[in-house]
Amino acid sequence: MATSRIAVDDVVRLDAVRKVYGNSRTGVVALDSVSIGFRRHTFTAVMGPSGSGKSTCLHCAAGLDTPTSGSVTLDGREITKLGERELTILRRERIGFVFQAFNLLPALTVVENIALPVRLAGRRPRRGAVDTVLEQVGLSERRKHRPGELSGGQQQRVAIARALITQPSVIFGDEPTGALDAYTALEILDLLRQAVRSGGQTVVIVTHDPVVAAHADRVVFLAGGRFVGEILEPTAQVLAEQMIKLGTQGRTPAGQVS
Amino acid sequence: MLLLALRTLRYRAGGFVASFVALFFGTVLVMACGGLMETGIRTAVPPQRLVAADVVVTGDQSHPEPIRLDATLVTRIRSVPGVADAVPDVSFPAALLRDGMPVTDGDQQIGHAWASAALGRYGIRDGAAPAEHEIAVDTATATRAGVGVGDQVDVVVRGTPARFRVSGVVSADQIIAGALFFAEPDVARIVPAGDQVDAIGVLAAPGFQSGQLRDALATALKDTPTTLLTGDERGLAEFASAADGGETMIVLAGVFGGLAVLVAIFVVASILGLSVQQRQQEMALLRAIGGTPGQLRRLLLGETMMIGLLAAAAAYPFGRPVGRFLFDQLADGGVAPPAIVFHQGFVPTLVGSAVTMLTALLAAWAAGWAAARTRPTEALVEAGLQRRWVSWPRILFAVLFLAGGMALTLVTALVMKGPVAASTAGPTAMLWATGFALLGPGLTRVIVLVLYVPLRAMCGLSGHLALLNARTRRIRTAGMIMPIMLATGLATSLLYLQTSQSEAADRAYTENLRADAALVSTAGGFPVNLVRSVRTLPGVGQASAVVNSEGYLESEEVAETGYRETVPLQGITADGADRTAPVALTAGTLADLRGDTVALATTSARHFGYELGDTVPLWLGDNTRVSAKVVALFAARHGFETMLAPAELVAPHTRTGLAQEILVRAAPGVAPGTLIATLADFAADHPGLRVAGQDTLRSAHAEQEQTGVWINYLLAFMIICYTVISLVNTLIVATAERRREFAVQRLIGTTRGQVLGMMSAEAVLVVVGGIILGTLVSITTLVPFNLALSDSPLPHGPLWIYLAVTGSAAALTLLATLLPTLYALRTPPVAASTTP
Repeated sequence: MATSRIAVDDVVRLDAVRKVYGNSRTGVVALDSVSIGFRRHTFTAVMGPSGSGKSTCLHCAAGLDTPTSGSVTLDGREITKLGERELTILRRERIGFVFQAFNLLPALTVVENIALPVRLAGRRPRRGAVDTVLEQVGLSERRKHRPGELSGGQQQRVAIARALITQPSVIFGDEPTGALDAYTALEILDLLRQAVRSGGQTVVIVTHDPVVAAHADRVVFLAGGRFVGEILEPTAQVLAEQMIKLGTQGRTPAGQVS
Repeated sequence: MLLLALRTLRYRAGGFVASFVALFFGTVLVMACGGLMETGIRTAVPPQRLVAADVVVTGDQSHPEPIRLDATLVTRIRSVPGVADAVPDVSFPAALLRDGMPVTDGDQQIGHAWASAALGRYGIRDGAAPAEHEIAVDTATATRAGVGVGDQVDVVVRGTPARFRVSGVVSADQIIAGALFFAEPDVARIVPAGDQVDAIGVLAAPGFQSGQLRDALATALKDTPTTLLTGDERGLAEFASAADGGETMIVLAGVFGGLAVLVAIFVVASILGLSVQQRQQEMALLRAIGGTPGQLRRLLLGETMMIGLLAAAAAYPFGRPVGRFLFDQLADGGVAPPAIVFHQGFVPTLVGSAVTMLTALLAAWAAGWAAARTRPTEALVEAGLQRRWVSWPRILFAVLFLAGGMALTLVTALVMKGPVAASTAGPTAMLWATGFALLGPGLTRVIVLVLYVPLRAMCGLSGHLALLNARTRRIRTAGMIMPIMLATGLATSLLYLQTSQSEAADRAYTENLRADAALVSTAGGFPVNLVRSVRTLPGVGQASAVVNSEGYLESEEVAETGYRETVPLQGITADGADRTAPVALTAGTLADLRGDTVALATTSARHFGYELGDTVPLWLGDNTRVSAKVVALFAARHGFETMLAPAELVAPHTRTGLAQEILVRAAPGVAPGTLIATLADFAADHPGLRVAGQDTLRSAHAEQEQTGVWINYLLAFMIICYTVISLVNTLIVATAERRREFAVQRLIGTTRGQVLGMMSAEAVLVVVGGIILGTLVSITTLVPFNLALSDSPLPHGPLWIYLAVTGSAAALTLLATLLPTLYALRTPPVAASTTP
């Protein structure tokens, strides 16, 4: 079985993670002994056909879901054994999220949405901190708007700003460009790349779109709940071919690609 | 979290209207009931005829019949320092006649001694104070009778007609009741116990406050069984029934206020539950970006508390007027004595607001469980469909509520007897309803299964879609079914409770009514021995006079708890009682009711362990104890037990000492019509008497029953209205949020008609489910209640009540579902599907 290399400065590491939904006999195996590491200051995309377990992989890595067995380490700390409350606090302080849709609370303004994780932690956002991230995502002019008054791309930028405000160890994105047109998607991906290049962030996204994944430093493939390989410095063309290959092979495990 | 709560409130103002409305009406109801309760507790009866007295001295007022005072106390009180004067008050039934008919309500004791006119600050308008064989009349009564100074008038005094000359016309401010003042020599002749007075009005010497005077009197009268009344208590000496009315109000307000609170908690919790359902994605997002379950719970709590505050503030101006309205209805209906002054101070307002906040808190706490259990991954999916609803606290509480409901059901059926059982019925319905609501999603599944085939057959594709919706969104469907269950369950229970009770009371009266006719007093009573004259009338078989009072049997219970449950005690004249008295004898004979004797209901006798021939400790209305021999036993329905004793024994221990009616049975071969004609002639010769045939007696009894009953209907109606408002509320909220769903359906080619069809089918499903469960809830209260009342499990009352209740529930549900659907369909589907 293919195993991603595991380095010492991995921000997030999955070790033999197995996730079964439902009970152990009739349940569906979503992840089957997956071991992957995500290095600091990198931009990784997790790809795979529908039902490959890529979303589950992200949920487990981000502490949104608990694996059935195996371990997940964040910044060297085992998070699989943490309770619901501790996990929540961990997510609040160390992890940023950008989802496909419904990222923002409609009742709050842009600024309030961005400051929400800090407020949830019971603190007041540092002066200028919100301004800094707003500037980073290019929305300084939209401070007082509500999500309903923003375009899809702008909403996604607010979500990125909200993910950045806590200076997290890693930002997870679940199809962050899935609901956007190609041009806007490009802007969002640029923002995420920038966060990695100049902001020193670590970003992990899940996508099935080769064009999107091509922006990453490294692409990890999942199929049938297993790790099936990775490509470094990929191009959209190579990724597309690989996806087609995985698609035609169905759920049979593929060999190492590169 | 407070900021977020505030912002959400402002942003989703519409979504919170439902909770606000529910809390608002709940608060108004609780405040109003609080007002009734405060009024009942205070029983403030400002004096009218005794207004000039600073302190009113009476006997012990806590017994069914007032206890008189020794007249010698008057001189004793006059010698107390600080007393300017002490005026004895003696009142007796007196009715001024015009063309042989009383011009005033005969039950009022408007005959007084002239000396007491000073206590009411009466002034002579015309003429002079009455001398012997003279009376002074108040202006209103004089006008009604059409008499003036110098006229000769007929007055029925204590049941005996006499002729007086009007010596003067008097008036006083603010006195509603009429008054006839008699001279001392006449009073001495009229009132048999001349050495006793009803009350003594004490006037303070200049410089003495009523408080000081009261203290001085308390010390001076320490060794006498007297009660000192000051301020607004003084009226209790004038309006004897006020204290009882106050107690009735406390009970009524407690029962219905409590029910309102329970309904409010139920309704607000279900609305909040629904809104948490709708905001599931928002909750999940908050969880994903680091909101702890506790923070979500606090968010919900904050929102709800703010709505609670707003609702309490909005309800504040309405609480008092509604309380006042209810009080007026109670007073008009004869449940509350009109002499009581309505009092709704800050306490009911405070309690009402506090209860609202507590209700909001409890409801938010219950809904918070669901919110806090939201899984963060739910933010990542388009819309969470099926959710787990089973959790151990939910099951635990459901079991607790159902067990409680079961216990109350059993208590009602086995332990409670008679009309008292009604007090457990309301809470029983609420407990069962709450238990069912907690198991709602599970019950919904069963209901969908049951209705699957008929609904598919009847509604085709629409029915199929509706069933799919109901099945996949079981929690939402349950949230719609539960208020319908509560509304139909409560309405059916409360209404049939009343009809069953009235029925039972009517039956208890009718089946024991054996007299062919009765002579009824219209002038406050007549001497017991009038029955002798009646017996000699042609066509009269048996006749027996009846003196109404109350009494109780002494027992260890009374000794231990001090709580005396009095039952009606009727004094009857023994001759002819066997054939006329309204009881079915099982042992002994009423002819033996002479001297210190009593006849008991078999159930009471069994309860206290007495048998025929035993001597029992009987307490009469004015708290006099006699050792009475049990001479007869009779059957009586549960809760309608009475005691019978000789009229000669009972009468001296009542307020007036008079009989109220004479029950007459025709001699063999005499038609009731002939008898009634004979009695009518007799009544014509005896002013203050009226003849009533069986039908009249029955309808008079029913009318008397009705006074208390319709106020219960009114209060039940208010609770039902409240439930209905909440029901409509919930349905509108549940439908309005489906705008997007409708839009998607229309985009894929569903016509407006088909959407409406689907929603109609859903409404039918929901309403049928609600009615089934509601009927179950009402069965849990009505069956044990009727078992307690009449040994038959079926409630009595017209079927149309049930049909009306279920029909209205169906109509309201359809309206509250289809109108918001139509409204939602007005938005073009494209616009609706893109805006969140």
